[in-house]
Amino acid sequence: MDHEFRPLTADDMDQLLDVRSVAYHPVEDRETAAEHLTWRMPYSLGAFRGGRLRSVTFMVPFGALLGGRQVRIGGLTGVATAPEARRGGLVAQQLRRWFADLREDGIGWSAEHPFEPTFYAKLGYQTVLNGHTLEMTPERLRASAGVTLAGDTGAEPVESASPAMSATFGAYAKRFSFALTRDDDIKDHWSFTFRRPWEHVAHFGYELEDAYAVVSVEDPPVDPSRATLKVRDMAYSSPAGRRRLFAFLAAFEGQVDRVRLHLPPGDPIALDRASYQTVHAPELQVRIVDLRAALSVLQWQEDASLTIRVVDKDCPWNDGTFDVELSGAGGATVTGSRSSDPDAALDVRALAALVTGAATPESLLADGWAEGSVAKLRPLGRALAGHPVFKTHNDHF
Amino acid sequence: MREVRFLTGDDIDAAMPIRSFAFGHPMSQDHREFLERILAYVLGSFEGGRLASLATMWPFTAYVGGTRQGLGGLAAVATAPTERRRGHVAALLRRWFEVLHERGVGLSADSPFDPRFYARYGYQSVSHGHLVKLPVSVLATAEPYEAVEVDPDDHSQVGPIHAQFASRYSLALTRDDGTRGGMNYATQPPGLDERIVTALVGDAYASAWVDRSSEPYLFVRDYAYTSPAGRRRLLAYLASFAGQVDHVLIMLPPGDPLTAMYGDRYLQRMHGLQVRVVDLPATLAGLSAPAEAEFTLSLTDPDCPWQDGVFRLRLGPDGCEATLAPAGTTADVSLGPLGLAAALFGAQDPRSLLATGVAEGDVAALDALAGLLSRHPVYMPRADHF
Repeated sequence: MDHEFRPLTADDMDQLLDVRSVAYHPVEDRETAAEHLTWRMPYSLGAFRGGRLRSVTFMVPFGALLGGRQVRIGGLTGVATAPEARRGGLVAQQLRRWFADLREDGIGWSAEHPFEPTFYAKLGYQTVLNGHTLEMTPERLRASAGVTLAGDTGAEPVESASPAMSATFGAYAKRFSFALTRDDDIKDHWSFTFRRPWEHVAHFGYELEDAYAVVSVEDPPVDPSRATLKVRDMAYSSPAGRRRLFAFLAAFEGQVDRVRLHLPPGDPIALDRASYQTVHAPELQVRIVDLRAALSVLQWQEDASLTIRVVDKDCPWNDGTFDVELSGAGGATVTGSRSSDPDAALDVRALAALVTGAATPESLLADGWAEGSVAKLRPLGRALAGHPVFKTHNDHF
Repeated sequence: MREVRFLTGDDIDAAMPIRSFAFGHPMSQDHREFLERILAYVLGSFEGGRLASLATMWPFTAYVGGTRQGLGGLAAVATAPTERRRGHVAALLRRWFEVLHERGVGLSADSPFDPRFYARYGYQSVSHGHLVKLPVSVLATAEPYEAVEVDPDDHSQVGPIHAQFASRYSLALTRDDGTRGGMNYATQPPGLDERIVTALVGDAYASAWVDRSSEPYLFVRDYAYTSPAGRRRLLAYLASFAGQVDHVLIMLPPGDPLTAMYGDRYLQRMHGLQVRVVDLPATLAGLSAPAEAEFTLSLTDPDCPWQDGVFRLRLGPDGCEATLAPAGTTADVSLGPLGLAAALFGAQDPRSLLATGVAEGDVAALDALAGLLSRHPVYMPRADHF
């Protein structure tokens, strides 16, 4: 009997909870869990056999920023398969359907946080470095931030996001690529920031001029006497705001032993401490699901043209030879090419690594990821040079 | 009265206990002979004729943006316990900056015990690769290979492989200038010389040893390759240690497929790397830029007064130069030595420099500066550490 692939309905909730229960961890409070999943149901796809849910995926069209532009990306999340159906290729079949759907909707990129990076790499997702997750003493944070403990930071507690916080986040996030916009009306991103549905108490929000932080103080399970300040979310919109923000966080010195936070690439604190104080954090993987849409939404630094051979076994519309015209004024045109002598050839993961800046053209060729002309590939690697990848862990999906 | 000067043989008796206290080096004949060999690279700060503090600056040569440049390798900075917090290191560093400038060396680098200490003197922390401890299974490739052990003194084959590999990056040492033993420091470093095996695997090589201090793992001290097939052969060779070890510790460069796949998951604590521009014109000389750009840059650098001012920068495919502009020239971009190094070596993208207050001014000028080394990202192999 073939599997039936269809979106889940409210009638499938019990089966969904059962599959998630065995895939992730037992669901103790089914009512709350169902409430948390309701908003996702329109973005679900299930593989059913004999009426039973065997595997499920969600692909949420989140609003995101990419090279300074607002786009939609397909956020892959909630992948779960019943034990008796594992290794049957159901996830791959679902993802191929999702890729086709995203293409129809004009969405060029997908992203996800893998349980293990090689699984989704087989399906074309490429890992990209996503900032720095650091854990350090407040003293080190203060030293690297160049702030003092003296002085009033002007922090005011808030229980929910204010328009000023939202504006601060907008100014902060637009510097980065794959940051969510949080204004897509798909889910209540800001309520989720203060309190996840499964949390009994809310995190604490503090608003400062040109900055904010949402934090909690937690006792780590290994050594409960050494409290850690966990910075769930933070942003700033000016250098002065940044100083106030880190002065506020450093003021926890004496109350906590450590501060854990997720910093973007290029942050001076991260530059100081990443070699020494990096802790494990979820990876970010991205995929080009439609070459035409993916390249046309980007702002290119110069006019350039090239012919590339792309290998993509899961997205046949991406698999072929293409004439690519990049426009320094923005956008790109991608058309099928009859050339038998492309300037470069690479698979879709290598292309994602190139466009996101995860690898230079020189590295791609030297490491066997690509073949052809470095000079021709080079313009493709500059689209996000001014907007490095950074998707805060608060926006994990 | 304070004096800063190079050490002589007469100062070794005073230098050894300071270094022993700071680093745990034994008061041995080996230690004495080591100091005798490197006296020309060690400045001391003396108070009333007594040695109070000392700092080594290795005269390395490094690849920078596809060129070879002198690189002052700051190392082994030590101060007598009773002389701490009296400005001796600052005096030593300022004198070293002068010496490097006089010798036409544009860059210095260090691996700090605490990055903030040297940041005060303009050393900027930069990303320089990923130290990962990988499950040995992820290295497996189907590429057939033949591995041949090479004499650690024989660099005739590994030297050219290293040169081709390392020149893709910035701040990787050339290892051909004789400083600190050159390639020998990779293939037979002091203390590990009898444990490391260097294997030639076609157009690739690896120098590695099995660390048995805890759960055994393969420690790859150095490696290089010159082709994609060479890289596959190298990985297949390293994967052949499966069974003897479960993990492989290896320093991967930025952009390597294994970095991209596992750089987050298996990252290990590693030495930091900081770089300082001590002479901007010397640093830019010889570099080429992908596109023409011309702008003025105000550099605030009181520790290097010869470059404290406004420069006119001309960057282009045919070369780059920085010349001091007349007093009163308006600057398109303003920064200090930290921002300069961060922009040049890709530690901060231009918008981050502006957003964090490290630089002020025109983002286009910063874009041009940041583009200089973008094709040659910073990577310092494990064996180059100093």
